[in-house]
Amino acid sequence: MPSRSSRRASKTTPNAAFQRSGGANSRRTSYKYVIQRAQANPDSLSAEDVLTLQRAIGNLSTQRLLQPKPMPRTGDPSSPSIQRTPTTPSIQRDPWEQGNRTTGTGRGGFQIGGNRRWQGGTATGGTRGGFTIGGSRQPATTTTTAPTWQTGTTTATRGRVTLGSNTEERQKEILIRKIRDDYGIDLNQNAGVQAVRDAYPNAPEAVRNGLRARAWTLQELQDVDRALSHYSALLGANRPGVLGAQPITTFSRLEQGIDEDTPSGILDNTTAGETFTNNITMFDEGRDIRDFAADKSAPTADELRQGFRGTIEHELSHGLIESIPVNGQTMLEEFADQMTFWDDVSTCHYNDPLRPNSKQRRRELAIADGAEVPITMYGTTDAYEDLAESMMFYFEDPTRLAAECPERFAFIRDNVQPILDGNPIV
Amino acid sequence: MTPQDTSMQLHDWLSWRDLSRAEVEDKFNIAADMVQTDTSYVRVGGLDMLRNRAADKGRFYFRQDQFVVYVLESVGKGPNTIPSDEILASLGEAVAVLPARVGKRSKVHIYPEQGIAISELDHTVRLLEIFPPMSLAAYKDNFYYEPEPYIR
Repeated sequence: MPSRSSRRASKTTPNAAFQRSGGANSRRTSYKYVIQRAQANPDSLSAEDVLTLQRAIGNLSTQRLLQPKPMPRTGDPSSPSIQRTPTTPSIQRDPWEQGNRTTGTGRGGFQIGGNRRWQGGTATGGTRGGFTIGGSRQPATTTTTAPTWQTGTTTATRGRVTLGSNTEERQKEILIRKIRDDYGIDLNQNAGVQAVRDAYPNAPEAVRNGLRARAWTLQELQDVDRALSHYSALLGANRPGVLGAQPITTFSRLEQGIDEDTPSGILDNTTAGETFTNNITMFDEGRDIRDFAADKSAPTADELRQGFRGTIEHELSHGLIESIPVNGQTMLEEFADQMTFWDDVSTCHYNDPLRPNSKQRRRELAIADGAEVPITMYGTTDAYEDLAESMMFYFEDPTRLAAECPERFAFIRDNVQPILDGNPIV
Repeated sequence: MTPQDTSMQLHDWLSWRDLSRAEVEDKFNIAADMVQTDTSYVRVGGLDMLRNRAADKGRFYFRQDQFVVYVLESVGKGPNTIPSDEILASLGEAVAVLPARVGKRSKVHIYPEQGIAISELDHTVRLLEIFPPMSLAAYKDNFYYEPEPYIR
């Protein structure tokens, strides 16, 4: 079993990025200085400044760096917040979108990279003092397709929406762009709605029409980014040609999914995330995953956040890992072969013919036989879920996975991690 | 897999249930250590499972010398993918379509009198079961359970 430090050594860590950029203090000073200078004079930015910003956004602790700032007071003329009034231009509403939309004037906006290609509805408004780094300069008044969001800092009244934190808005935009550019993933709410509709054709039309988008929070976007970083060797420009086209190209965030593809299907409150053809969608339930809570009856915010991020990592295992070829079969088949718990990908070796659908009974029989059991009860469903749950713990709590499921930890270490490290697929 | 391949493969699968245990062992080079005794499949106990992965990815279940079921599983991605649409079309309308145990949106198409059940998801076969012709009730009593909800 490898030490955690050895696994970490192969990755680019925040600390390593710090060292390359001259240490914590110099870097912190550097990126803030660049932003201040950019706001004062956009034309003064150099290529090095762009790299500094990209490094700050991409490699360093996004949670710390991208903390939303306190909401400015509404009506304060010095406030950078955007005020919406009935007199502002109307919004072309996205039929799927439920979050509050914003339209209006922003100040000091900036953009890194090329031209924006946001998901969601269309917002029209002016931008003052806007500048673009590394891409085409936006005109003073422009029409862009804006990302959507819904956070605790956004308040809405009839005819008036106040965006609490312009900084947070920009942080989201930067993350959305980074996720698209680095991983080839478009954050696209419509794609999720369509994916669910397509996958549940037999559910009542009223239910399928009841699907609603939920705007990503900044924290969720940070978690998407971090989860994707684990799989970066399989995404975007890094993806090996031998694996073919990238199977997941959009991420979506909806309030609810549908529980079953039958005329009895309803909007459900039990599905946390779901992988579709080309799309992964996260649902509200994903914010209440308690696998990492010390006290499951009272999970902390950090533990729930870990559950949300872990669910993304779980779905990415379905979407990216299961089908990787290994030893003449897929990674999932190899996993099922090596785990004594499974006779095949959907058949448990420890089957009680009197209770074939009892996960608890499967575990009891396996433990009585001295076999290793999946890390979670849900992982006892089948090998698909077992591998996905193991991947989730490998990233979120490797110590526990190594201690409780050494065979699963070793399988990922020996078969999956080398691929995630960018080694050739044989 | 072309439609012709599919048709031929389906014919092969169905013909295997007519093989005796000795013929299966011979045809698939099943050695003694490839037999798992006193095992079960879904609701049927007291079985022997025969499998030689090098010869065929599926597995045969016998009760002593009596064929019980042949089971083939596939991830639905990668080199061993089996498209489901053509097979299902060639079999006609299923007697029953029920939630399957191979994924949240999966369904098992049951043709009990033809002795075949196909669990499919996203237009691929995930689980194929070949068995002696029987009634739908007998299939459910032997080879089916309703899966618990998938939550992620």
